[in-house]
Amino acid sequence: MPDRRPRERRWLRTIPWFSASLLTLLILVALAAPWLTPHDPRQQDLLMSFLPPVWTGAGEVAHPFGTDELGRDVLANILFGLRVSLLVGFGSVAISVLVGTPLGLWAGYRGGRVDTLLMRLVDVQLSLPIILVALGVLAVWGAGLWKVILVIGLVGWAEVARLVRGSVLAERSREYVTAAEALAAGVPRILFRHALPNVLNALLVLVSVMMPRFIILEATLSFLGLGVAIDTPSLGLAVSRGYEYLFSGSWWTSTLPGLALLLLVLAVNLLGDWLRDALDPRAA
Amino acid sequence: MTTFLLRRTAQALFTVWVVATLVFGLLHVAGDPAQILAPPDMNQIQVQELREALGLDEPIWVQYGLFLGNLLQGDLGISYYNGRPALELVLERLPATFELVLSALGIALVAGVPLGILAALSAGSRLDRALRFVSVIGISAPTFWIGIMLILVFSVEWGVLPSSGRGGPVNLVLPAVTLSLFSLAFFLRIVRSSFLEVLNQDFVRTARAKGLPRGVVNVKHALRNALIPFVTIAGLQFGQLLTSSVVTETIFAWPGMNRLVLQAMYRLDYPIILAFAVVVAVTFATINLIVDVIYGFVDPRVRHA
Repeated sequence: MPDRRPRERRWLRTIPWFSASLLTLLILVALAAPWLTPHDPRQQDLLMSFLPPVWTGAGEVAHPFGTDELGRDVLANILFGLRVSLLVGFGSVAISVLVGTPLGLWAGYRGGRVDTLLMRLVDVQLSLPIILVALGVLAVWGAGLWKVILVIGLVGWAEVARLVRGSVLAERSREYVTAAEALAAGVPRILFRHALPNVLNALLVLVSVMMPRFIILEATLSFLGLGVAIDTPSLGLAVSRGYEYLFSGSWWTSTLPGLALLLLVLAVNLLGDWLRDALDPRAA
Repeated sequence: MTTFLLRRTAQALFTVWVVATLVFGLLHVAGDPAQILAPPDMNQIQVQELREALGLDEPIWVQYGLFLGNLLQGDLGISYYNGRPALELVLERLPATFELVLSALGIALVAGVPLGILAALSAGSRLDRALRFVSVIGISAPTFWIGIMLILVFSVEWGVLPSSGRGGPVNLVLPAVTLSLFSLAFFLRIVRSSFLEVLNQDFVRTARAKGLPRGVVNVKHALRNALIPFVTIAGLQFGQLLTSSVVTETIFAWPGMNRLVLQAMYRLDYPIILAFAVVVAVTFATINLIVDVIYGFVDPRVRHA
C-alpha cells in the first residue's frame, strides 16, 4: 500500500491560509465595526422596516443587508454581533482555563484525597448536560452578556482540569521534575515553571475545540431567550427574531446573521483541525 | 459482571443524588417561588397560604429532608403551573423526545459511518477532501440555523414538508434531519480518523503482507477494530442529543420533554425542572451501563480484564 500521508499533509499545509485569513478578516471586521457601518445596531427606524438586501433589487444602498422588523440595520447587527460572539469565545475559554488549569495542576501533582475529590467533581460536571445547566442557571439568574460568559466559562473548567491533571500525572515521574524537587524548588514553582509548559500543546488543542462550542452555545442560549439581554446585538438573538418573520417572506433577517456565525465557527474549527494535526505527535 | 453492575448502579445513584441536590440548591437560590407564582391580584395573606400549601415556609433543612424522602418514593412534586405530578408530565413527553432522538441518531449512523469509511479508504483523494470539508461545515453550523434554513426551503419556499407539530412520519422528517446533521458530520470525522489510524497499524500491514485480499483486511482486520471505540462515542452522542434536542423541539414545536422543561424554566416551575433532571440523569446512567455491557461483547479484552 502506498503511504498516503505525504499527499494529505501537503494539502493540510494549505488549510491555515484559508481559515487563518477568514478568522483574521472576521476579527478585523468586528473590531472595526463602528467605522464600517454608519448605523447603530440598536437604532430603530419603523419607516424603513423589512427592507430586503440591496442585491435583490428592492433594497437600498444605505442598508446593504436590509433591515429587520424594527428597521434596524442587519449588517450593523452582524458586525456588532461578531464582537459579542468573539468576546464570548475568548472570555469564556479564558475563564475555563484560568479556573481549570490550577485545579488540574494541583490535583495531578498532589494526588491522594484532593485528586479523588476533584476528579469526582469533574465526573459529575461532565455528566451534566451543559446546555441545560447553563439554561437553568440563567433562568434563575437572569439574562446578560457577562453572566453568559461567566456561566459558560465556569461550566468548562472540568474538561481543562481533567486534561491538565492527566498531563501532570504523565510528567511528574519524569526526571526533570525529580531534579527540580532535588533542587528544593517549591511546589508552585515546579508546577508553573516545569510542568505547565509541557501541558501547553494539549491545552491549546483543547481550547481550539472548546471555543467554537462556546460561541455556538451563547448563540443557542440567546436564541432560546435565556442568553444575552434583548437589546444586545447577538447573532443568535438576531436569528431568533428573524425566525418569527420567516413565513411572511423576510428571510434575510435570520439567514444572514446565522451565516456570519457559521463562517466564524467554521474558521475556528478549521484552524483547530490544523492545529491538532500540527501539534499531535502521533500524527507526525 | 455482577460486581461491575452493582458498582455502576451505585455510581449512577450517586450522580442522581448530586443532580437532585444541585437542582434543589439552585432553585432555592432563585428567590421566593410563591411570589413568582402568585397572580398579580393576590394579596399577601393569599400568597402566604400558597407558600404554606407548597411547603415553602419550612426551614431549608426540613424542605431538603422532605425532598429526599419524596425523591426515594418517586414523588417529585406537583407542577406549580398546571397542578399535575411533575414526573408524570415529564414521562408523558419522553416518547416524543425518544422518537426524535432515535430517528436523528439512526440517520447519523446510517449516513455518517459509511461516509467516514469511504473517506478513510480514499484518503487524500478529491472525494475525501470534499467529505472532510462538508463535515467541518456540518459541525460548525448552529443547529437552530440549520432548522430555520430547512424550514425556509422545504416549508416556506416549496411547501412540501410541515414545519411544526408531531403526527405522522412527514412531521418527523425536518426535525430529525436537523437534529442529526451535527452527529452525522461528527461520526464521519471520527470514523474516518480512527479507521485511518488502524489502517496504519502493524497487524493490518501483516495481514496485507501475508497476501489476504484487500477487502478482507479492510473489513475483518481494520474496520472491526476501528469501530470498537465508536460504540462509546455513539452512546455518548445519544446522551448529548437527548438534551441538545431542546433547540430542535423549540423550532419545530415538537412536544418533547425538552420543550416542556424550557417552558418550565421560563416560569420557574421547579418540580418539572427537578423531575426532568432526575429523568435525564437516570437515562444517562442507563445508556452508560448499556454501552459498557456492549463494549464487553465487542472487545474481549475488556471482558477478561
